[in-house]
Amino acid sequence: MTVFVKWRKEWKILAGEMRRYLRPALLIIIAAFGVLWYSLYGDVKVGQRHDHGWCYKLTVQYKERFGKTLDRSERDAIRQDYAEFRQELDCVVEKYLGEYGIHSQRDYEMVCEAGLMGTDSEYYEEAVRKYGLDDLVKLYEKCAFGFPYNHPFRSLEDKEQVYKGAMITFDFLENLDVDKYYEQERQYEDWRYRPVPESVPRMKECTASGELSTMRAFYMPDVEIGETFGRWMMFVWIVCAALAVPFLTRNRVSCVQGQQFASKIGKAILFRQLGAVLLLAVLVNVIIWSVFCGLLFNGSYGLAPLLDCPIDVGRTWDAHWYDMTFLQYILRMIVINSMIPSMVLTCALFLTTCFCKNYLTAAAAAIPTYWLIDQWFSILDFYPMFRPRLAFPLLFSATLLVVSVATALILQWIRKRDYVI
Amino acid sequence: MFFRNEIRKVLRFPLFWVMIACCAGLNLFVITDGMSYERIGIQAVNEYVRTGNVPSYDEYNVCVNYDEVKESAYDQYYKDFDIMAFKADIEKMFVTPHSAVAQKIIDRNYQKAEARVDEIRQDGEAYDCYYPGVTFSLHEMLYDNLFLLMLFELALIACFMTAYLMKYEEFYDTHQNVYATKIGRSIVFSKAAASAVASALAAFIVITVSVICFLIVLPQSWNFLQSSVSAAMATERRGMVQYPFITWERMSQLRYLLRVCAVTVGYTVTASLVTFVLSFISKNAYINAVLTAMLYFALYVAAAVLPGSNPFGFVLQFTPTWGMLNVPNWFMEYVLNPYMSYPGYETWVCLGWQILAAAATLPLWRYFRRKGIN
Repeated sequence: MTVFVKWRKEWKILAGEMRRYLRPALLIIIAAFGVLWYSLYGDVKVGQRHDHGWCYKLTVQYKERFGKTLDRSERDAIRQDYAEFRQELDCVVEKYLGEYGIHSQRDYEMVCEAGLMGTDSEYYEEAVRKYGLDDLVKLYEKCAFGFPYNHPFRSLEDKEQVYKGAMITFDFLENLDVDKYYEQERQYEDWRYRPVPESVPRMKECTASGELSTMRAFYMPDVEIGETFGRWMMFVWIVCAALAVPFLTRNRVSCVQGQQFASKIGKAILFRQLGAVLLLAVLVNVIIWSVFCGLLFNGSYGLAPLLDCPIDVGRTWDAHWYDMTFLQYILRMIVINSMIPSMVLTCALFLTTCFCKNYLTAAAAAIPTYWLIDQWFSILDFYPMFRPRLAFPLLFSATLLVVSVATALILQWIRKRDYVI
Repeated sequence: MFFRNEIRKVLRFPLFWVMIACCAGLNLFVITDGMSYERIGIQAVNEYVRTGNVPSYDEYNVCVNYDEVKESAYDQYYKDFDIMAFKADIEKMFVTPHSAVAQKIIDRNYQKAEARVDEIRQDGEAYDCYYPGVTFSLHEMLYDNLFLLMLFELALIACFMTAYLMKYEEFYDTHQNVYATKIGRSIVFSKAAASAVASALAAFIVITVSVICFLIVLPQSWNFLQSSVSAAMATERRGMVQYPFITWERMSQLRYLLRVCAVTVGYTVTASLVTFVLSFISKNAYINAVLTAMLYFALYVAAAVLPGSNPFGFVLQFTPTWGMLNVPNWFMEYVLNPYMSYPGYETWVCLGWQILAAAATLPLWRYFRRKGIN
């Protein structure tokens, strides 16, 4: 009972500290900022920005037909579908461009590439032989500029490109020799992109079954999602930083410190304030990432159908050390890449602003602190396959330990000092 | 007397000097990092032009091609250049359709650009250049990298200093004495003037240090400064297009640089005045700074997300944020930013927003004068 009463009292103090920042005016400012940020950077339509959504549509279609992974026979069926689509596309090309002498998709590609790249194109000589140089230029302009972006032919053109990309992925997997591939990648100039020897068994493990994740055949939403995720993460971090910066400084700016911090017990409020600001950071993460996940999974282009797809089956250089489904990957990114680092950032800002006498100095100190934390966590999580298996978990844990110990030591030191913070 | 005291407050604030030093330091890093590779090539070009000797580096075949580039640049970029046809092609490929009124205004501005192109062709300005722009990208390095960074650094300094000064009395808990009388409250105008002057001073220091460093790091910088901005050889790649810089009047690089410096100081003072206006509705310096940042961001978003056919396109890009982002294209036209391609855009944005801030001060001052002080 005594413990319960004590925790209840602690919770009341924590809630009181949090309530200082959960005020209508502040919430309106955060909401307004959120609306502005979302207008500009909030697009979560992964895989539908460039190609009329064919990456997504084909992935969902084949997942419904073949399941989470594609074995050899299923990939052959997709090859067959592609061949049939090419024949349909040839009919469409004939319909729109037949009068100009372009009768198939191959002719169309030849004209476009030769017209764009000139003598650098492998099709140049053939195109000039077939159409003549003067006519080639006019045909190129007809093909490149004759159709606006939303013309039906453009959509089919994009679908063909998506299929073509899938064929390249299938061929790569079926002809893969992991040891040779590893030796080839070890020659890469930039040392950061060379795989470590440990990665060979992992690559063999991912490709042993000969299957390919359906999600990976046509596009890589887990790679593409990185860009979208990064923008939302920046918004979360900015809000957490904006809340953390004035937290401690307010003690100094307001008139309470003379009474509040006259005793050690009074100064112990600092620990509660830290707890409150960390809880606020968690709350901000939970709310914003809930909105993100809601937008990502729902709607006509929602990723819900792909959540149970494994992301590492058939993968090589960009495989992760641990098997995950797409949903687990998203949750991992939210917790490991955003939530925990934002709490570290909040802690760091809390400590930095301990020594600032006014808001502006605190805000000025926050800028380099934010940048340093951001850089450090970017370095930590850079291409997991290119470091030993335990490098990321160990470094990550060491970072948390160092920040926690530093926080505890500094707060203890402040508490024991004579009054004046 | 008030003004002198107010400006002393800023000059005695350590953060003011720390921020100036950090910004200057960051700019020096950007300059040395950006010029580290180009410096050797520029040195090689200077040696070649002076002595005719080609340096022994294999990769600096810019010297071997130098005469060819100089001879062919005019033919490549100016001889058959029809800016109206070029603009029409770009609009067809990259730019979403404008409203009818906007299209008319854009076409009228481009008629001026067309007259300017004819002037460049006739008076020999097209030949007046020293360094090939495509190879060294000095305009991009100086304005797209350095001055763009400086504009935002100086806006941050101006915002912080103004917020600090405006909330100084609240911070030291003397506001109940100072604002007890009308004369005491009129101190805000001295604060506005002091913060504007302090911002201009910060801008002057940072720009001077950065530009001098750039000119020191750039070998034989006088050759660069003397040449014309609109020369054919000075053409650089800008985004998706590559065509000459068509300035609205004849300008050497030196004159262009000085004008950009002056307008940069103007934008810094504008940031200070905007922060001053917002201070009347802010509870403390932190909220003041946050509101200023949000206003600039909102002005950016408003123009970025609305479609090109929106009739308010010109109005929405007549903002300090877009003015600052357009620094590589100040005093010239840029076909991918048609709403900002008219003579005096950057100067009018700066002045216009200062006038707007002054106009907004009047009702806010009346509100402040009558506000109870707690």
